[in-house]
Amino acid sequence: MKKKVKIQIISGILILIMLAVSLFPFYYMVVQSLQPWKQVDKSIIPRGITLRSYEYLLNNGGSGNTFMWIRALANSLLVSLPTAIISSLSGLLIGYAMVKIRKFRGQKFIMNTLLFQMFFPGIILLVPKFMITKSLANTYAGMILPMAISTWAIFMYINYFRTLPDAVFEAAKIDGAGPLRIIQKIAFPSTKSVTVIVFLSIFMQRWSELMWDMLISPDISMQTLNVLISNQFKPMGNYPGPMYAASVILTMPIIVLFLIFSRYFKEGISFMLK
Amino acid sequence: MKKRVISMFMAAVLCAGLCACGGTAQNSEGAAESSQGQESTDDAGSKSSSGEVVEVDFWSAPNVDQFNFWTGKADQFNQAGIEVDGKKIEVKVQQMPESPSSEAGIQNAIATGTVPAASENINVGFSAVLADSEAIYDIQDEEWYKEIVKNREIESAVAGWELGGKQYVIPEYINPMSLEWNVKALEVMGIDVPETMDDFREMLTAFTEHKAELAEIGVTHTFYRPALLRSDQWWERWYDFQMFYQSLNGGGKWVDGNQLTFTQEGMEKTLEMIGMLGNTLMVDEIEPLWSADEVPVVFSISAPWEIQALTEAGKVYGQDYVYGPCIVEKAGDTPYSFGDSKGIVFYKHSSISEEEHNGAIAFVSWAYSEENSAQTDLEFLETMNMLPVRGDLQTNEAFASKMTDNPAYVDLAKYIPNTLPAMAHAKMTEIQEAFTEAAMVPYIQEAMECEPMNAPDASAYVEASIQAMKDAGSLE
Amino acid sequence: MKKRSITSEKRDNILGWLFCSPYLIFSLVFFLIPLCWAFWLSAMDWNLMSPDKSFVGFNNFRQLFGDAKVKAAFVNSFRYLVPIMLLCFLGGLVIALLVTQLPEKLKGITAVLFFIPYLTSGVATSVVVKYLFTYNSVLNVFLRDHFDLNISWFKNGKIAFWVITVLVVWKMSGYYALFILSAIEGVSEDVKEAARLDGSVGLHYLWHVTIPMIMPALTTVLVLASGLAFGIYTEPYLLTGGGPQLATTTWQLEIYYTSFTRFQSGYGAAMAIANAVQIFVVLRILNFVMDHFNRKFGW
Repeated sequence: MKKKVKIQIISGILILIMLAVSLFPFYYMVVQSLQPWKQVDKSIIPRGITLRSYEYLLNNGGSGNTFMWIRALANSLLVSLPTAIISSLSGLLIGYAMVKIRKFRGQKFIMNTLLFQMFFPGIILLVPKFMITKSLANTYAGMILPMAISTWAIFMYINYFRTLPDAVFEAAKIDGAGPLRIIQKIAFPSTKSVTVIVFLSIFMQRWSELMWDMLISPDISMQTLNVLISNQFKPMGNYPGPMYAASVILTMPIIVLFLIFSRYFKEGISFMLK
Repeated sequence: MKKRVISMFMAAVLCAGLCACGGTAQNSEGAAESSQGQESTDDAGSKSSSGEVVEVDFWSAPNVDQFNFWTGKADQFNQAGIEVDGKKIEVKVQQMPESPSSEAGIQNAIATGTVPAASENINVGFSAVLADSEAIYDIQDEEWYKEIVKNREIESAVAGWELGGKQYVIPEYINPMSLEWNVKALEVMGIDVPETMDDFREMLTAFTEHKAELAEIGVTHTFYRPALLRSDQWWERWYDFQMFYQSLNGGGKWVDGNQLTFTQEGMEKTLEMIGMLGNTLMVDEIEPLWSADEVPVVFSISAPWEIQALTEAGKVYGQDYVYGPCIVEKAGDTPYSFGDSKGIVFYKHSSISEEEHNGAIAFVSWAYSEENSAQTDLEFLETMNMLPVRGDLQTNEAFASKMTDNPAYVDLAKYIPNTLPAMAHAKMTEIQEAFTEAAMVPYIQEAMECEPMNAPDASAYVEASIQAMKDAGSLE
Repeated sequence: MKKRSITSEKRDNILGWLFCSPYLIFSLVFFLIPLCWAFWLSAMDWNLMSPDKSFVGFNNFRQLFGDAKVKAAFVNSFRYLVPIMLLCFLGGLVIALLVTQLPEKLKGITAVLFFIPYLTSGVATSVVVKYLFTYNSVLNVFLRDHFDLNISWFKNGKIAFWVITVLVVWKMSGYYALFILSAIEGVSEDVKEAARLDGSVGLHYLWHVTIPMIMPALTTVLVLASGLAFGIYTEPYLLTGGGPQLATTTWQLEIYYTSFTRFQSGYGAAMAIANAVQIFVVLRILNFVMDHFNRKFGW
């Protein structure tokens, strides 16, 4: 028994060290975003706290475009939310169709297409996808549609529905419930943990997307926050403080969202393994 | 209960999403409009009789000051209520995207059809790329173009912008590249601003001798240039390689027609001059540099657009920093250097209507009309601290007084007659990239292993780069 | 009865296609058409803006073989693959094993804390790394003052490469740990009990019970990590531009530069196809090897 306690203490210490390493960049980011400008990057411990970096972002951030940073944050939200919603909903519907509609003509074909697409390296499609979407340049649709459906999300739902007993659905069917009703009343509510994971993961991925948004939506007023920050990586003339502040704004919403919903994770992650 | 809350949440989010999608089409306009919402109300009174309005997009360079300058011009123009073919022209200014360079941003916009009717910020090299793709209009035969040339007395300047006997660009400003010296460091070393190779060597010797004293005022390195080792930043070769080549070799063109015209000998001399700095080169990034309390380097490439910020940070021209010419071989040589000159072009694309094109012409020729051109150029000088391309810069009273105000301008203006443009070749990017990869980066890496004054031999790198440039640009 | 089953079959057909139609339309527009287009484009020389494009046949592919950038991308993908795969795997395994030692109450929150780096956009971490590694940052001043170390983090190819590798490993380890943790937690009580009766503890238990039991999860992690190594883009794009001297470049970066800053869209498409072939082959080999291991452990 003693030995077990010892092991627990040692692993506790190791975990604390590793956590410190893995969370240090966040600490550093937050501290530097609050430092007086002369002190940014000059010390790890805050030497005075000021909101100047955040105010700088609010007051059009050194650009002629009013509220450029706030607009970019709004753009990020307006792109990520619909993408996550469409991905989850379509994933749910298709997952249900592939598993719970016992057999329909072409099911196998669709399954194979899904598998093929899932394991296909997307980079091949970069240029032609850009050519197809180019008429939607600098619009939300141009950023949302090409990423609106995720094969990963579909497979999460397929894996999930496979674990659900058919009996429930059959019973509902015999009771005369229509398919939409079954999805609404039985399938959807039971998928809570999967839906949370799918929704948040897609949201997070979309939020962090760089290359596509940079290509399809370079317009200053239509940039996402991610693109706007990355465009500030220029050799000259930037204040580090506001860059840290912008990074904090970019990072925190996602972390908070995940922390709120973290209890669904352990359950949901098991479906990723199948 | 919980389920209900979740499904309601989903429904609410879904609605938000749909609204967002629906709002898409208008949004890009709405967003742009908000930046000039102010004047749209003012304009209501001056609407044209027919009531029809043609919206014309104009892109400014990707920085606040130039954006503000052109927005101001557009406001004035819109209020003047100028009509073309009975339709009022409304100019809308936006900053051009820069991802990762403004050149790439423009090419992207042409590919997607989101390109504006006109934009500034085009140098001669990139205009060659655009002309080669038939993406811009040639304007040499247009009456309004000849008018602008006459108004600004730039007959000689436009000769440098000619491409295959045609003109595509209205030159706007020129930024004669020079060196920015740390006056405090020069004082410690006890030398003047170096101008010749002998001065330059003396500076290096003095730097080694006074290392300890320099360290006291925070100076640890000679030349600040992070871009030296960045092959993706091909455009930076204008500001380090081309500039030094031309000052050391009495001018010279990088590429002429389809011929590589920089000489092997000259290129070696240029690289070895930078290589001489050896381990005193600073290629790591420092932010901020010239406005910091202690500037850790002796010199860098000049950046006149920073003058404003430097003044705000309490830095004084002549006491903290000073501009000096590019290094020449021996006293009496002309310090040729790269003239970072940018101009305005009109884009040719199926998404730009004839009306918009004419509107853009109306706007630009209004800005540079006989009565407005001096005012436009003066405002530009005042907001940007960069020198407009004008034949009468020294003679016109309006400019002369402004120029003597700030000694920094006086020094900069001196260099203008000796500036040379970027190469005008459709494969400019590839050629400069090839040079960077084959010569600049590997040579600097080797040089940085050496003590100062011991520049390694550059001939092998230069030879390799000549072949690489010829391959990349199909040159002879 | 029979009639009903026919109509229900018909209804299932309609429903199935109806539910799948969003996906089918999507994959037609954003997958199948672009896919064909990609192959067509790979035989063209076109800068995306010029009205004229010329057919060059296999020239783009031939050109790949002599291109230093392609070679660098190819070699770098393996240079990234090996350390990222191994370190992510080890990092994930160590985190998971340590977390299992914790009291039940703390497990969840600890795992989530390790997961946070995964949530962070590469852009935000690049901001921190960029400024933390500038010449006069607190870190570099400290290293110079106390250890006389003057490190050029992004201008030395080897160091820049490891900065990016460590950044990726740091980001992903906690995420992979979740997979492994969930598999360890899933080991049934029967197995644990049997092992305990056999007197298997410590490393012996780890090697002979835990690892074999979580083999599928480990396989997933390895496959995911290898896929990851091929997808590196944000960090080198923002921090090094692929340099110095292509030391940190990746396929994604080179394809992006070729297609959208050099605007050689045809050549870019050819590069992408070459990249896809490489990914396919590597993943096949990896699958084969992992299958072999899995079979050994009876999966």
